[in-house]
Amino acid sequence: MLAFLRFALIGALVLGALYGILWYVLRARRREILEDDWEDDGKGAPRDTWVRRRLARFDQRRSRLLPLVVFGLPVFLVAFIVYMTNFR
Amino acid sequence: MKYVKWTLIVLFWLIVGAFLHYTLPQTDIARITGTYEDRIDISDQSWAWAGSPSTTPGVSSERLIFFIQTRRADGDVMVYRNEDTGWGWPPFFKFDTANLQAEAADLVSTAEAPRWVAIRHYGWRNEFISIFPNAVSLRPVDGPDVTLIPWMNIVILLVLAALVWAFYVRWKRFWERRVAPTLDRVF
Repeated sequence: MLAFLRFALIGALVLGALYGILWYVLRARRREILEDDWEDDGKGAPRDTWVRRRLARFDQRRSRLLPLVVFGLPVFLVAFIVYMTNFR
Repeated sequence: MKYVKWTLIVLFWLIVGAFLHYTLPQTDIARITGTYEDRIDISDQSWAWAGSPSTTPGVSSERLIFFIQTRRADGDVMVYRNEDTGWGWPPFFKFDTANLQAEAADLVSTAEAPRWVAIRHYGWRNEFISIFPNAVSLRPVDGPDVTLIPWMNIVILLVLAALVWAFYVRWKRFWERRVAPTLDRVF
């Protein structure tokens, strides 16, 4: 039991750090793309407003998808390995 | 000076290669000749055994370890240990050691009537320091010449290579853009 808790804690910390890093890196990259897009076809509104609104929409999408991938994928992977090693 | 740089690079990749060769699973085809248990003091080469040796004074680091004896088609013998990796390293999450030992005992065969088994394992066999590869799973196969493709290893190595390349490209870009001009200006 203790060994599992230790594994889960280390996993949570590492994945949490990865989530934090990925959130900011992906968000910064999206902001760059949006700023380039504004140059092409967004001149109707001031840049920061135009970008901020669209960034918020991407933030919503990312808040759904990123936890699923960063936390869900490793959990699924571990479960898969446990099945393949022990029950096959 | 150039020799130092290249020596370090080669040494680094040798260590990485050795680590991967030890940790990634391999599959051997062999004939199981027997199984046994033995008491092993795991404090000698503790890195080569699952779990950690006892740190409590007075408590022995000896463990009862399962072993599986085999013989290959070319006549070589190989002895595997059979230990749980549990939630520890390497991440095989192996909990069914006793079951595996039972399967191995059931698959024992003689040279006259061989039953060939594919044994997935990790680790190295070294007679001098008495370390054994850890058998992770067994499955019967038709013969000693069956072709086995290590799909998981291929995927893992490709992913690793992609990661290394991604980091390397970004590091190089960072170096060219930020560090090299500064170094040029100072020196």
